[in-house]
Amino acid sequence: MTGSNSFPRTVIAASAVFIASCAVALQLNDYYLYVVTIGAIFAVLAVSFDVLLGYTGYLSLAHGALYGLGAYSCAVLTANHGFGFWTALPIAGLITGAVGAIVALLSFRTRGLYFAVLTLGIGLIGHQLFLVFDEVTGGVGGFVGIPGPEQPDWLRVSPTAYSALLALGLLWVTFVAAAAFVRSKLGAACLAIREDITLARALGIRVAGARLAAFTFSAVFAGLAGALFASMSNFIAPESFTVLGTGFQLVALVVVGGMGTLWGPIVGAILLTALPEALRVAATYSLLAYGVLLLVFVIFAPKGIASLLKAALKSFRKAPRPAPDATPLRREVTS
Amino acid sequence: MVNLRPSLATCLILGLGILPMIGGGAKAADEIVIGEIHPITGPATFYGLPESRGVQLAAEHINKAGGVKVGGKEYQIRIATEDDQASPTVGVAALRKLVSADVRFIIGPLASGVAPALKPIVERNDKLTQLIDGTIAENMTNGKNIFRNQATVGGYNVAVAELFKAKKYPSVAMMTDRFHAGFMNSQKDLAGNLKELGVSIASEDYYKLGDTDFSAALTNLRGRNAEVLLIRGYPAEGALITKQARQLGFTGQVVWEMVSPPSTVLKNITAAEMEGVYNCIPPTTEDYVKLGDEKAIALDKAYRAKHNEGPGELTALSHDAVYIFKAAFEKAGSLDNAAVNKAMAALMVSDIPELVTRYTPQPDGRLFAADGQVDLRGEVSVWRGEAWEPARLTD
Amino acid sequence: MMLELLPQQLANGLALGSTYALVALGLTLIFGVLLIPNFAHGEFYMLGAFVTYALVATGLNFWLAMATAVVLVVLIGWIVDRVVFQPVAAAPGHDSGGHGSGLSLMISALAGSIILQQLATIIWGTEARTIPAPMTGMVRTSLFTITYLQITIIATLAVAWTAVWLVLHRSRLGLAIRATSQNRDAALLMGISMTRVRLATFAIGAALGAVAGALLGATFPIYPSMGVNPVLKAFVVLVIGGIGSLPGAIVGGLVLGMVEVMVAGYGSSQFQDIGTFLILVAVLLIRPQGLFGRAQVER
Repeated sequence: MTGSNSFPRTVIAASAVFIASCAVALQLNDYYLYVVTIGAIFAVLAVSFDVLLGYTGYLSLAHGALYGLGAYSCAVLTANHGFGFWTALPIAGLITGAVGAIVALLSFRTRGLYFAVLTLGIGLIGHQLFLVFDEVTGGVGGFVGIPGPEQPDWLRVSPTAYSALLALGLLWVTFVAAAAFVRSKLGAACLAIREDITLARALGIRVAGARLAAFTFSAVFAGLAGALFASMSNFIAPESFTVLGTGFQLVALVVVGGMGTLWGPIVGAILLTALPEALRVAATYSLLAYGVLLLVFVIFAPKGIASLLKAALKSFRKAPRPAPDATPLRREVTS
Repeated sequence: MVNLRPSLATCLILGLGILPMIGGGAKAADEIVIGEIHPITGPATFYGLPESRGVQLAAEHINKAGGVKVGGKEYQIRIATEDDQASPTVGVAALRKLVSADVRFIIGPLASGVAPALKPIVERNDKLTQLIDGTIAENMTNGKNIFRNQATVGGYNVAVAELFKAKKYPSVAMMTDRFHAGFMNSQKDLAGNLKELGVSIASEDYYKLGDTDFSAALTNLRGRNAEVLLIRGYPAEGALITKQARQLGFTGQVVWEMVSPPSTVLKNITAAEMEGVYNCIPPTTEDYVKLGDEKAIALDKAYRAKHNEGPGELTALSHDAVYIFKAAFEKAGSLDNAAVNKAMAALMVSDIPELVTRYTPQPDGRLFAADGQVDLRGEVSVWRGEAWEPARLTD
Repeated sequence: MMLELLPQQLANGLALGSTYALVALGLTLIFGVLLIPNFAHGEFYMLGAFVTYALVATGLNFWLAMATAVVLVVLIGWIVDRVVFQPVAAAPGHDSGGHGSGLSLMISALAGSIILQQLATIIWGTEARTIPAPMTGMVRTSLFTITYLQITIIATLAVAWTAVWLVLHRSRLGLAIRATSQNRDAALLMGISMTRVRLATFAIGAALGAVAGALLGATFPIYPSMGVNPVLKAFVVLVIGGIGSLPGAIVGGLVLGMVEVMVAGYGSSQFQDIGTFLILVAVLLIRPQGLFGRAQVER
């Protein structure tokens, strides 16, 4: 089904949703805006992570540290070296992408659980390095005084709203880039690797290049997400980039949302960011609910919300239609 | 194609559908809402919950006694509790939620990881006044709209220096929790201060919260002839390090620098093994009760009556924070943040007789220094029998 | 530099490594036989500690408390398998093996781990405590000092390994377990009861976790999330030793303990954790199947 959507239409649809969500976001108060911003940043992480997990079939636990690398890169560039946010953002993405590529070259010597455990180790080392190199990172006390993203004069919204717009914008870019990636030859090669790596090799698919590209792609966007997070928070600390927190949470977002689709992870990110906020009053039980939810999804809907929605949509389509005047709707549905 | 559009729309609806479920309460006409941000759940509950309860108790007490009188009008205090789970992102969300519900006075947070995340937001917002009752890390206040009635780690270190001066210890091995921002950031200063006193630093080692094996570093103590082992962190690891050091043959003096109520200590180490250990921190709620302080005893009693257990060591600070706010409101004669900030900075220690904690007044009698920090000094106590007691250093 | 302390550091490393190996043993068994990356093993460990603590607090003898804890945790282990792992294995789309089912099992294990931790938090709170030690005192020689409890842990590791080895190699059940770990489909065809193998494997695995928890809980503070770090370390041990290999778990655990102590003792304690994971990365790069792993590790 993914292949049947033409790329331009996907971009148009994504843009429409982007504009609509920006318009909605501008009506929200500071608190909801912050929830939206964090949700969107996690959605960026989840979508790009799914290119590796859902489309290529590799579970990396190093992405919490890569997200942190992007954040610290942006912090150092803007606070210590006077770079502007718009210069620091792409550089942070490139740095993270380059480190991601090195991590990938090391890790792809293994597969399956070994790959997961190896990246877990790398993620743990990364988190430790943020703590140990306190001359650069501020150590456990965190990095304070990161300048916020410069806001153009003509855009007269609050800094919080501006952050939310940036996060939604980055999400739009990520979504479109990921859509382009999975439709490309590299994306097709990744799918082949996921299905059967031996067969893919036998068919002459360049396995090494394709999966390296998938890992690097996800690393670049993890870096961009980290950079935006650092800049909008003005403060970062190593505890935001742990394996157990961020690394595993990414996996949860993608699994609950739906692996192997690009919009499923967005749903997962929204749900798992909003849920703990909604459950604030019952926070003692919120982590318990989180665990139960994860278990229920893995058992009853292993392909996530995306598959549930698809199934619901299918049954909706199959429902008997009484009159021929339903045709225009039907045409749209089947096109 | 359609797969995408309806589903993305669904995500949006899903997300927005959930958001309105999270709302702030409306406030009645004659009440002042004070927001408190503490870790009510998560790993730091154990410190956060007694703080949150201390705030509630103080507010109830004030309300019963007639509330706050501002400009000839009486207000009741309402506390809006938010949980930060000791996590920066959750804490920022909590603050923004309070701000969006038009809460303009904040008590908290506890965690050294949360306070610096809130700081840039509070500094930018001239409709906020924050009083920190938790973290001891340096540089958290600004004296404009961020104040703190808890000690800084520098205040703790005063007591360490005092102990070393009195006992003329020649050398020290330091073990510091490297996940504790306050202790880590003050490590260099403390080592410098001790060196000035002529103490040689035999070693500086680090561990982290949750570590269980310290044998490698402790074994090295033997080769370094350290007279004192100084442990800076939390009591569970403190107890474990103390035990392991003794097992590995360390016979010198053990000194703790940590908030460590005897009930917690004794869950992790026997009283016999603790005998003679020194601790260098400002007095806790329990210490004031032991000193026979009437206000502390009343607080302890009220806390036990309501919660069926003793107060936490930081309960007194949180309790005091509400009274500090009350005094600032009344002194300002207004609930305008700018006026409250100004009044807060000008408060005299003598303006607030209800304080349990015994602060050292600034030279001009004020409670806060220009940077918004109180002067709360560590004191040396020593473990005798089943608990800490004030140490006499002169003999 | 400080070579005279080397014997003590070696003793430290042995004691620490034994604790790692003890936790890793149960994890590697369940993984080797059932292909389940059981993150909830850390919670078996935690529950073993807490149940022992609760019983000792009522005045029960430590060893009786530990035995009771083992029985209870085995029951919990069965429940976890029934509720958390079996439904995933049975769910459509999971029986193909390979990547998909491994990932789902990993996530359900994670979910199970979160749920057990939160339940423990609700029951016991987060305050750290230590089980009163069943024995105090230590052996002091001129070269090194070691506590009786540490000796007990090392001895328990030896006994546990021997017991597991005897079960696996000297009983019909053990034969079935080994057959399953080598080729599950063939074992099924041979008429081996999967249910029995599962029950037995989870029982042994959970019991090992509980024993480790009870013993280490008398040495270290216990709290609901106490299992997280040991289980991460145990995964490292598993990978170093070779997944599913019992000798690998023992050797891997000891190697890790030694390395950590040497890094902290002769390098800097700040780099202790980094040292751990660097070893992991190095082993995986040089010998991806682990020290004792079989060659065909790609599943």
